Amino acid sequence: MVLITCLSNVAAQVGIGRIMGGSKFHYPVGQPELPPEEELRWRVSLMEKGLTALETPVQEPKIF
Amino acid sequence: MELELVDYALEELRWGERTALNGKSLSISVADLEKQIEGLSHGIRIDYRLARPGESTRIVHVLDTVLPIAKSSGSSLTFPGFDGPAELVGTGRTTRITNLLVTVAGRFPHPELMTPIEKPREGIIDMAGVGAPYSYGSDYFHLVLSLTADSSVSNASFDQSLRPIALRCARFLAQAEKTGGEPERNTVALNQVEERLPKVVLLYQVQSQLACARTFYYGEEVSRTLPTFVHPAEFFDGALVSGNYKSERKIPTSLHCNNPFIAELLERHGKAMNFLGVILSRGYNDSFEQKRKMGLWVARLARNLGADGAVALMEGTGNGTVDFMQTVKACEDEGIKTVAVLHESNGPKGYERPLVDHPKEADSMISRGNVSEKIYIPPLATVIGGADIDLHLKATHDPRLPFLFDPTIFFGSYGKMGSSGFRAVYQN
Amino acid sequence: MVKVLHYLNQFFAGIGGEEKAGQELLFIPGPVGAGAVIENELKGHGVEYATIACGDNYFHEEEEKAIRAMGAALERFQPDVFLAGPAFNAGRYGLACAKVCSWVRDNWRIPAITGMHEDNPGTQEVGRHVFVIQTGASAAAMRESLQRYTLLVERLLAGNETAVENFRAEHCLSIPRRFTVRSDAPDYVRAVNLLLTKLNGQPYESEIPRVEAKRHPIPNLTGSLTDATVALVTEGGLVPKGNPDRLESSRGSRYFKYSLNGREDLRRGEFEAMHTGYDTSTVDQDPDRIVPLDAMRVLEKARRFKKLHDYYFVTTGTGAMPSKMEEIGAGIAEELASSGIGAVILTAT
Repeated sequence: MVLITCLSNVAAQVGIGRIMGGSKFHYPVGQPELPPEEELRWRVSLMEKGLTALETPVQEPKIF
Repeated sequence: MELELVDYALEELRWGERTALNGKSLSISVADLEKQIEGLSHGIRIDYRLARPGESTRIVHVLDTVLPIAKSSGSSLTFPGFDGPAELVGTGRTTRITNLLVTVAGRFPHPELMTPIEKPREGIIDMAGVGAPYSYGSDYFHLVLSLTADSSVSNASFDQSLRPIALRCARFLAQAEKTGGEPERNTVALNQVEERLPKVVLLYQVQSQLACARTFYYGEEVSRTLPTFVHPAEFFDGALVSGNYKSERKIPTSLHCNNPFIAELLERHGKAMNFLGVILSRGYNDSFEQKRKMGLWVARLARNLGADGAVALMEGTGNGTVDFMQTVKACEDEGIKTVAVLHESNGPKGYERPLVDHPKEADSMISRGNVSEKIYIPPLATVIGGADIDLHLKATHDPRLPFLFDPTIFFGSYGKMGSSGFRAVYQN
Repeated sequence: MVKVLHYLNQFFAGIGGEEKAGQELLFIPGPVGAGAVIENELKGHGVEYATIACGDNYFHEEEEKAIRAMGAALERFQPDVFLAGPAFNAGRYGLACAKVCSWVRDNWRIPAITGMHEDNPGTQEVGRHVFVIQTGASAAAMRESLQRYTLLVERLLAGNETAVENFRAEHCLSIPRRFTVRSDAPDYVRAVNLLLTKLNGQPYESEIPRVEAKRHPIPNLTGSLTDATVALVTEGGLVPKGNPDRLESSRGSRYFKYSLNGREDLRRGEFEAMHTGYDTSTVDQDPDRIVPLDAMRVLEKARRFKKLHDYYFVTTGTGAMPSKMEEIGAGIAEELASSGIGAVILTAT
């Protein structure tokens, strides 16, 4: 599992292995200031990063 | 900078033909109040009620409380920025009625148009009984303004109206004609003290996040601003006003204005320490990086002021705790010894981890108690401000019946639990 | 006349064994089983005794109903003291005993006494002021346990607080939990005192301990992502418009799953976020901003992973107790694991 949240330090304290900071607190995987096609491109690259995190073995909480 | 406080206190509160303070007895004329707020309350009906400490009275749907304070010298107004152009405050002379609150209660006209996070939370004040030690304001007299807006009033308009209505009434009461009886006089100043005394700042983190969860400084939202230095005297003059309706965890306007942490540090100034003043910061920043930076900026400002130590308090919970802890960490990293005050969320049966976020640097915590513990709350004889209690959007409750609930139902309870001396401990 | 009400499970009430574990809550006037022993010991006090019996499975599956029925029994009988168990090492029974005693103590404010072995999972559900008498692991310890119940009831009836606290120290399980107490000074005084102590270089103590979270082993992918089905889960409260299953906007009590089948993205107006902890207006404009379906479909087509799971899972975390969220997480994990899901992307606010 990879967790995308603004509160990444709390996730680390709880022991989550794979953590990503995402965008902002109110829209962790959104970029509303961008036009729709650019926002989708950004989101795809964020998800790609998430999948790479999933493929990465970890022993301790890691912020990607 | 020096502020002279001229303090009156009540022993009696009643309605009367005129608004006047005779000794310790205040009579209030509704006609006088209506005249004060003429033009401010379009579309809003106001029911005026009184409440006194120790009475079996429950005030519901409380949005804010305001202390009667008025300048009695100079041209500035208390609560700058809400009635004409703002002027600097914190000097000259201010008249106060120290144990009276103008209490605004009511419901927004269009809750269905609000996102869940904007919706005001229920906050009740129990003037007696089990709930009193949890209810901010239970030890004050109250002029309750119970507001009902008709459907032509928008939420924004209601929000923007209730503040000036309450602030005007508060100023007006402080300026009431006074006869018989001498006020107490005090001075708020940060006089020069011995060099050897440790220098201490108060770190004051407010919530100013979105509509219905805002804090104003000289009438401007404290949002996305850098932390700033505020002289304690400015607090006494109402420089900070609350627009935050997260009732149990907000700092009411009257508490900004009459804050026991500021009072305690002023009391100890020159004796055990050198109180440098207050650093005002904003919590609930919306990325981890911003939270971390807010902490760094607070720490750097404290260091630039020459602080050796800090007492830290915050408004809110959850998300805002992360900004708070980043501030504590950053101060400790800058060599500023920090004590942080916080409530605990140990769960109804006490098993849960106390804090949302607890870095190792936060090694000197002061507890306000477990805010998730259930309390058996019997009814009180009189209910002011509404016909039901909103159990935080999950159900409504008839206030004439007892119920089991945690302190989050009480207005200003997180701060009040602290000043009531509650804390949490391990018990079997 | 002292009224004692005693909760027993189907077995100890003599109703039946495992086959009767679904027994609905029954009120029985008079003592039953172990209750008869206690009633006999308390004869000198003028005791009126009654029993409620409930199947362990019934309580576990229909807790709300069981509690309601129990409330009616208390309303009817008006007890002065409430007993449950002893549960020894019986897990479901111990949980039920702890929960009913906590409910009674909270709502009726009468002494509530149960008993179990220290390994009983019921020790994780004990409310404030409930007495949990330490017992042996099996019913072989019955006699000794009942003697202790009787002794505690006698001390409570005598009104001797010190003797009661001594009993707690000597015969009750030690289950330290954090509760609110009154301190000798307000927070602002203690805070300044603590700071001065710290600044003077003197030893000091924090009032709030740093409690480590229970750590779980972190699983790593076995095999390739190209063979894996990935699922989306969110704590952000996103539900179909109209919130058909009534997910709470804070402290979610359950999780739900909703179909992504045939969808390439999540459309505004078809979903809404029920959550008081973040400003939902931005994700309401485009729900992909909390459940990133559109991006995952792009990557699914590019065969970055085998398949996106047909359902996304959702709950609302804000204000929730961690232990409740653990329960919800375990439920989601179980469903995902049995559906062959290899990996999860979880969004939270």
